[in-house]
Amino acid sequence: MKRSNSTLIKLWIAASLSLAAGLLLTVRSLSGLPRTTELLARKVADSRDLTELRLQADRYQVLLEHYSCLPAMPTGFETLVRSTLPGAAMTTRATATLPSVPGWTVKKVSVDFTDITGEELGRMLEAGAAAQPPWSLVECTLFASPVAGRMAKASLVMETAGRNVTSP
Amino acid sequence: MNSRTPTPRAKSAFGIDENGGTPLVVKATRRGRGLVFERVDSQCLSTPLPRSVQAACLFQRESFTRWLTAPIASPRKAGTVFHSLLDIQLPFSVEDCEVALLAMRPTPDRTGTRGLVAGARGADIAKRLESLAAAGFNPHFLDQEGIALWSRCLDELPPLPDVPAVRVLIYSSSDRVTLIIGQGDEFITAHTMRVLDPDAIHRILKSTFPIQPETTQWIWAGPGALAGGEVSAWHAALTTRWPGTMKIVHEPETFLARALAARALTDGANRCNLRTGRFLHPFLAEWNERQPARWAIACLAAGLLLCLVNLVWQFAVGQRLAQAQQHLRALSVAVNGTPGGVIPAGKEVLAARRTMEARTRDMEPFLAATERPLQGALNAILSSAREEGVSIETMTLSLKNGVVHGIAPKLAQGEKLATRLNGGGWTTTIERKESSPGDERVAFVIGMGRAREKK
Repeated sequence: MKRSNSTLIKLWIAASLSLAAGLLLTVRSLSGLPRTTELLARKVADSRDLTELRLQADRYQVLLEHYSCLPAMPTGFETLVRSTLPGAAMTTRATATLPSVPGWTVKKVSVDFTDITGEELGRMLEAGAAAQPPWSLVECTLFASPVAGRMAKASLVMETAGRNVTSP
Repeated sequence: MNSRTPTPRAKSAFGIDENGGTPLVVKATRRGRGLVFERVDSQCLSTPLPRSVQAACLFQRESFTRWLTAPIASPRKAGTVFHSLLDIQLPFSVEDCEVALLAMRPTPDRTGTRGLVAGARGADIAKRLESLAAAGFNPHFLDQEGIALWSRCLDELPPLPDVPAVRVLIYSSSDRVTLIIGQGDEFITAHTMRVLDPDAIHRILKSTFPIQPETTQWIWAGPGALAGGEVSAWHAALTTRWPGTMKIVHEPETFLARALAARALTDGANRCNLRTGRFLHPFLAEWNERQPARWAIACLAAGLLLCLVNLVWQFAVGQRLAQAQQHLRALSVAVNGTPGGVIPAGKEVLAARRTMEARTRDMEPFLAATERPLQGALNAILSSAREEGVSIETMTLSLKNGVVHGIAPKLAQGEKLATRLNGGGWTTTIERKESSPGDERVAFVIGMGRAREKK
């Protein structure tokens, strides 16, 4: 009887200890729950943001791959204008070659047109966009002409990208 | 004085009755929410079935039932004085009895408490157990006959509003007649006699109901109720003084055995077991003795389970966080393109954003060539100006901002132009300027800035 009582006491002690430990762990789990939830929510949000950025990076990569398929050196802008608007009065103010993404350079040209129509300007920009690699407009200043439909002066800054070609 | 002691939950129960020394056994089994009764041979109890219990009863002549009234409103306090009140009422010492308190109700004026007790003398219990043992039975429960019959009557014939409130149940067997009187669903009293005696029943009813009820419902059960002609004759004799309807229960001969089996198997009102104390069934005694150990084991298991669940939970959360962090790092490396680069945890998005900002700046010429935003804007401004009747004097436009000097017959036209440019992804402001002398048109300047895209 004595032995059975001592076993029962031991059993109750073990039960009390396990219940206390279980309750402590439960309290710990529950108290840590808001923080865990917040942490997980933040990680999910970060993951969403990073996925978006990765998609953007992938788009850039695709764009560069597309450019890699085009001729390494762009057609000269002056050549382009001469072939599109043979009689246009154009002055090249400046040219610059700037570094860009590794392996690529950006060529900028500042040109002034005098006495040009809006339609001619549009045609010239379309031709630039159709060139391979394309020329794009990055800045322009237009001055109206007393003659309807014409511009006294159009100053444009055009740019294009080309691959760095190392000579053999 | 306790109600039924805790017992293991049984799957089936055997109710044991006897009729002229012949055992009559009914097996009750749980099915769905109800019970299924089946008359069985008494021999099948010789080998006890697992998780089944046996119940017999102390006949009314071997036991007693009493309603006691304590002048105490608190049921808990009243429960402590019923023992003494019963001792006063009994012609023998309550100490020699096994007694169970079955129910407690407040008195009608709510100043006291009424308690229904059932009990039997130890000597009678011992004698009954001996007689059952001689017949080969060792029941776990010893119920009280009158109470058991009444509770079965309520289960099988629940009181209805259109039947008389006063009910008299007559259980007629070859060696005894037990009379149970109740009102609505409340047990009032029970009596026993060797043979059915209408005069004795009249006296009992008269003492129970000094004001005679209009009608009484007579319910017949027991093997004697199978003799329909005799029952009708007795009923006719009884209803001359206590008029009322007659009802014979379904399968009347097994009514008591059904009552005992059902009460042993289910919880409910007025459950009792008078085989307690020194008479307690060895199995129940052992079961009760092991109860603290069972509870301790249950608590230990619950505690361990709680620990296990929490540890698993914490491990799972840790794993989930680690996986999420790994995924973030992989994405960050994919964006930054520097697998060896050390990016502190939590700074992945910041680092990736900086990298992408720099890359976007580098990629601007490529993007501009593809999307041609400035050419589109230039076309939009020129066509909008034409449509609004605005003449553009000078215009400076870059990828990020622009200034348009225009003139129009009315300022409203300039404002319309500014509004249209707003819709094209620009944020615009318009300012009126002084016109040239002699020019009636309005001069204005529209300032343009790229509207920031919302993330």
